[in-house]
Amino acid sequence: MSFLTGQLEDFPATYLTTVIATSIAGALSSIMLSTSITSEMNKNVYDLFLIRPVKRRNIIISKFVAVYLCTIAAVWLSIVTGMIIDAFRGITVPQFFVDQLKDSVLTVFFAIGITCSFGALFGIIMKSVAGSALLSLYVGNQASSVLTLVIPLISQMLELELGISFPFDPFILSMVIGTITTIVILLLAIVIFNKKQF
Amino acid sequence: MVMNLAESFIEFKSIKKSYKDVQALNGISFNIRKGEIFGYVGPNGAGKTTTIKILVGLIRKYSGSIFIDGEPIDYGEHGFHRILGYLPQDVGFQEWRSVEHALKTFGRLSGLDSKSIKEQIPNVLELVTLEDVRKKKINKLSGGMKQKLLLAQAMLHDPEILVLDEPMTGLDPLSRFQLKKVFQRLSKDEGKTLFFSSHVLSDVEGICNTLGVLNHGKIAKISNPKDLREEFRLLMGDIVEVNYSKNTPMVKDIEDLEIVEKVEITEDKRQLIRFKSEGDLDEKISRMLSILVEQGCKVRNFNLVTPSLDDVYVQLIGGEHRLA
Repeated sequence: MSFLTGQLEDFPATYLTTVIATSIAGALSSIMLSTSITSEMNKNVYDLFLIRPVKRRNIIISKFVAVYLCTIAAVWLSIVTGMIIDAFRGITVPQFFVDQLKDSVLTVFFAIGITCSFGALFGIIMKSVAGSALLSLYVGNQASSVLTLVIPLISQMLELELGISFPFDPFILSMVIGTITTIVILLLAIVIFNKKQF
Repeated sequence: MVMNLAESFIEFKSIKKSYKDVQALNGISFNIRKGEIFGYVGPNGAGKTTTIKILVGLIRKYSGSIFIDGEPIDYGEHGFHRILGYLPQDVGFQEWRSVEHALKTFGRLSGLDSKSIKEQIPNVLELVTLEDVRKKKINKLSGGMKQKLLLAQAMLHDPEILVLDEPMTGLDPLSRFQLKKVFQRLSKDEGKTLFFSSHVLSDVEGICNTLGVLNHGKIAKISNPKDLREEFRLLMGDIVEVNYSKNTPMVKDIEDLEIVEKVEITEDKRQLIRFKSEGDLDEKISRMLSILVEQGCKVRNFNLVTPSLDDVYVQLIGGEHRLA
């Protein structure tokens, strides 16, 4: 809103960097993973890894972990950069934002896990780089949004509209569902990769 | 297990593989002995790369069996891949890595410790004459250099078996010559077993102990190259090639001679004379020479045609020999 109204003087940069980083991190990581896997498979890069005494699954897991950790590091770096800028500008980030930062960023991290796992899956299945990028972008992002954001929304709606309290902690439930989904999709990707003929 | 050198080290038994409607391999069986260089030749699409990919474990869906040192092949962490060095065809690197970085990664994946990696990298780079580009990014290398790097990664962990799929592709004549020497040294001095595919016979000629010719997914012939040539020479019959000087007549009326079966003029001032199989070859040659002298033919070159590997290859894959 501050952007729309042009009142940027006291607008915390931390807000801006957090919103941008968390909103594009999932999409970026899934595209990065899917396109690199598809293009490397098309160039037969994995032939040189698969003929060594390593398990096939380790190739996909290490690829997933590398992209996931890099994305998380990038998100944290953006938030910290925003905080440093705010500190230089002498702007105090509101306490309620700081309180919410931890939960929302952690939720995004689980969402990134889901998008990355879809990225790995479509990277292995698809032969076209563009196809794998598009599918992982749309399917991965939709799935991560539904699985990690819908539960907190439902719990809020139940409480506000119907006065029913949600039986589980929505944040914990989102984390559990996010983790399970990531593992299931990643396992599926590994099974397909193991059966692939090169 | 102590192994007799004559025993088979790698054994393919009735390997069949099909892709949809195409039968790529149709029940091939052959053996490779320890320490030998096995040249695997055949036309494009004959099934050479499929055979190799099955051996190295990149293709797992096939029928038949492969045995290594008498045991069914095992692709587990402590199995065949420990002793395998593989140079694939049409493969890419992660090109953002430097030559050294890529080799370090391959070394680690092959189970080498840091000390061995440090020792081995300069050795293999020297062997393939890539010492100068050690720090260079792979995307800055030429096609021939990448091919050499592929060979370097295959030899890095000092494997017992080297499987090389068209290793000479993209290399200049000097590099081809140098690599042939390296292959011979690896086999003779270090006892490595080399399984070497190519569709260029000059690449395998002179270095392989055994030649396997594959055609349409079937083994057309397996033999020692020398025996193969001799076998084919006997099959082809005794043929002499005569090249005449420019202003001289070619030998006439010899087709009726009892020693001659067929005469063919292949090009201006060049004749191929096939002798009948009966009689002594030396006598037939001296008789022919006397006739040439009698008729006043000026001969620049007179030689007994011995089939080249190319002739044998063309015959085996279904082509026709030039005199047939």
